[in-house]
Amino acid sequence: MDSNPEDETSYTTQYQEAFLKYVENENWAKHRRAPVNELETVPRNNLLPSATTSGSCQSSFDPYHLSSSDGECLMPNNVAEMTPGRSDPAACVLTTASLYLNWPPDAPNNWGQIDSNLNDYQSSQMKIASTFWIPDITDWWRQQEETHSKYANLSNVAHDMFSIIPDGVGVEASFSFGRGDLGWSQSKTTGQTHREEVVVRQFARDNNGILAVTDPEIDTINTENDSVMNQEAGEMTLHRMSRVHDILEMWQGSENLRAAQKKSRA
Amino acid sequence: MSKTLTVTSHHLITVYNDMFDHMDGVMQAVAQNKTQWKEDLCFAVKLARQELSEYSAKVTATTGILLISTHLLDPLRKLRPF
Repeated sequence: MDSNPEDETSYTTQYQEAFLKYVENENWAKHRRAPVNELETVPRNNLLPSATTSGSCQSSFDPYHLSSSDGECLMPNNVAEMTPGRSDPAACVLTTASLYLNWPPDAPNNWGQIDSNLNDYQSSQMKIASTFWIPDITDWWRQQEETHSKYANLSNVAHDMFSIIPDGVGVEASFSFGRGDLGWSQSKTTGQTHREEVVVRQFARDNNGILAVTDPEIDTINTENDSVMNQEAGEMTLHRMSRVHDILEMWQGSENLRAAQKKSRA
Repeated sequence: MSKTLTVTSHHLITVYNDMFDHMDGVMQAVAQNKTQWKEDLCFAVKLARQELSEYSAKVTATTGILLISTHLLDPLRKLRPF
């Protein structure tokens, strides 16, 4: 999944390749199989749609075709030929993803109640607040799923993807994490300090909130410090106990002396 | 974005692009007059654009696959903005 900017392939091709690989890996992970790392054996350009491929893998709606056997999926012939041993649901989803990507973007007018003028960020600024999130593409994917359309296989992938909040992804997650670490009043904190704090917090979060590491070599200092502190605490306790013991002895001695004086008087 | 009840992750790259366009427009408009406050504003916008460029540069096929995938799954855009 290398994305070398100097590569001759465009960003579009790189993103398309990365997306297809992600979809395939996700699909294979759901089927409890080994992750797929060598997708290069599948020439994706040959998976691309023609006008007649819309019916592939769409005979009945079955996400990822879990109930179908390996041979039941109706794939294009070129896919079956070029992916030996891959005539399975993963190949179906991959084909659907390729078909989806190479089909032109859908027009908002096809969405029924949606006004194309209220499409996106290009609308006037006064309308951004209310129209930026229109249309809701989850309805579109739900419609694909319910109508068993040619993209129905991909709807589960869309469900998984869109359940992720944007603040928890990639660089936005780091930004949100840093914002939570640095309050608005801490304007004098340097970037280096802030970076170190974020790294420490990130490390603690990845280790279930535990900052102490399990490596005994690294943890030696903490162990020694803990033993010294425990020893000092023990000595303090003994010292207090000895003082109490001395007081008790003095009290007992004074009691004995008082009893002896009473006897002598009597 | 945090107050919405629908999916928003597919808007991020579009927001980035629109912010770039907006900053470029502001800098272009402010650069015509050389008053002090406009120069300060231009400098601030330039720094903001530089910061945003660092964020945007990290959305690659390797590190930003989720953002890119959600963007590709938007049936209105797909590969068009790239």
